[in-house]
Amino acid sequence: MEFETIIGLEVHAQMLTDTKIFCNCSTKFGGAPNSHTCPVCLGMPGVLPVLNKKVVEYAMMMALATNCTINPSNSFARKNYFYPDLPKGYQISQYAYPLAEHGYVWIDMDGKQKKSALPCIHMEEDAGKLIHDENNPFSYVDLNRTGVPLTRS
Amino acid sequence: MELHQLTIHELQKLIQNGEVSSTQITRSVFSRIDEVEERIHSYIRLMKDEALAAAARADEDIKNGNIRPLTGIPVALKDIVCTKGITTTCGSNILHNFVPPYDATVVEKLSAAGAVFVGKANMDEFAMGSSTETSFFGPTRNPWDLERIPGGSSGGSATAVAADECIASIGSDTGGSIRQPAALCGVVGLKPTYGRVSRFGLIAFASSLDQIGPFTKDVEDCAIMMNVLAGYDPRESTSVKMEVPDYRQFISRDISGWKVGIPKEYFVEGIDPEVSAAINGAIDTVKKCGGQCIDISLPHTQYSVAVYYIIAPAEASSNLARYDGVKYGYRASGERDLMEMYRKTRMEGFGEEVKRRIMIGTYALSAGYYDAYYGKASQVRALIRRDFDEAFRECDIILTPTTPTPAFKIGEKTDDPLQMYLSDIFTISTNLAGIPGISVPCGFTAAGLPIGVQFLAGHFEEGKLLQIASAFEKNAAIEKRRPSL
Repeated sequence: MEFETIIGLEVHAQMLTDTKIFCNCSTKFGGAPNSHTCPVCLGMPGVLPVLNKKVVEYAMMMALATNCTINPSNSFARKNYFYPDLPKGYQISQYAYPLAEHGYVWIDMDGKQKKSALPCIHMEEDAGKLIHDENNPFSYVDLNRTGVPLTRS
Repeated sequence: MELHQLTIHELQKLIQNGEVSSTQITRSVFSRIDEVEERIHSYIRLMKDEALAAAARADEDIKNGNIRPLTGIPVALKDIVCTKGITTTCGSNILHNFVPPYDATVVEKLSAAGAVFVGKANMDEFAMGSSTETSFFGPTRNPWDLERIPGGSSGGSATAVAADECIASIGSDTGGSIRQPAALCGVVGLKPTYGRVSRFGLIAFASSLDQIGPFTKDVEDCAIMMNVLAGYDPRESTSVKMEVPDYRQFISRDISGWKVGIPKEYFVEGIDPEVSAAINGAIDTVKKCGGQCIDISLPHTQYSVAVYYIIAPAEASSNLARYDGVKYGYRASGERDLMEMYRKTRMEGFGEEVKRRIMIGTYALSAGYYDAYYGKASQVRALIRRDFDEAFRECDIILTPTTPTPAFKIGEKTDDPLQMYLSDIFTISTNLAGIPGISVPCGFTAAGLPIGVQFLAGHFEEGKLLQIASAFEKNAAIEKRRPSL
């Protein structure tokens, strides 16, 4: 029997804005736990997201760099699941109507240029971080990273 | 007349003339609360100390000639809007001890306008209900008949105004939760256009349907409240950048020649005969004011309850996912692992109706069913909205009953959720279409229970609503009664 290997990559890349995708909190790495947070990225009852314009610009730059078609009308969707590092119980991402689609990148294979499809670029928010105590049955939730802007492709 | 019996505009005159102080008004409201609150249970939490402190500050402002639109006026807040440092429970065990670290935009606005907050008003749990019977903190009773429900989900906000336990209040309306209790309690209640009032700080039930709105004793007070509440909020991306008119200018204006649509689908079997009679009386009043009543049709009305009970639970199932015991609120004890903690917390923290709707919503959104349920419901929703767009080409205002019956008895519909859902039949389409609606008292049953008439207008036409409501109120000559408590 012959098998053909097909490899797909789902790539999440952080967009290097100063503030988060849906609030004004700093995206700076390494602060004290839960020090770069606010009611919005903490998912407190009653809060609402406001989209960071820079995030859209950076995602569009990536779209242009990868030969994508940019959809002027695109929408966010919620990916619902339960985990302690996901304060709202859903991640705001994109699904049916992404920012950009039908792109490609050139890769070098055995001296030849091969086109690798990049089907879509989504904007989304990162989740927080769990730190598991090695000696005790506790895990610690650090939500500094929730809301850091990512692209997913 | 006691101070707590007066309206905002009446009190404003007295304040301006230096005849009363905010402290006097606030004390009058609290002594009324002492008198009746035990029997009615409008409030989950009273804020007497905070209120008297705010009244003292208001009196300083008044002395310095700094009188703002609501300076010194005692206002109640449905316990669904976040108040910094004051518990905000949403009528639920799962948030029984939740203290928000921030104020909702409407709370900031009311505060900036000088309002004095009396307390957090009782409500159906997470705004899911039409009777205030699902509150974890016990039901609220209708001041007009203590054996009856006040309506819901903003029951406490309605009763507090009806019983003079505050001068005005704030509620929220997702499927009728301001207008229905307003009708059943004999007060004025308005649901603004979706996007007119900021939802930042409103604990979300169904994000595409929720709106915050005022309960008041008369239409002029409603206009005063709307002036404070309405407006764009940069923290709220569904709030609209539209200028807020001075809503008071619409009071006491003429409506001669206005076309008022009477939709045939809202006048069917099942309406209580006394409600029918009162609505027919309301139609006569509108004609007396010079309005021209014309027959219209809203053909997709019959689907509105079904559409709502897919869309609202679907959105709620996602909005309520954050209540997991991890960060705030109730957390179950004795669990052995994360999954068990989640399960126990949500099982113990949520009441039956909330769990029912989360399950319906999760099912409607699940893979394989999404298009058949939520997708389809969204398409029908667009048709319901189109019915209104087309109707408003023919008429200025639509007139309907607010509810099919007057207030029913406590416990009467709790065993049959579908029966309970039908009490919103006349209010639900309004939220689906995003248009504004107001309920105004239009009479009483022989047994002394209030009846409300509903006016609907096109998007951002709250001014028109206030204009016809004001003309109606003036000409209807509804006997001024107070609940006998």
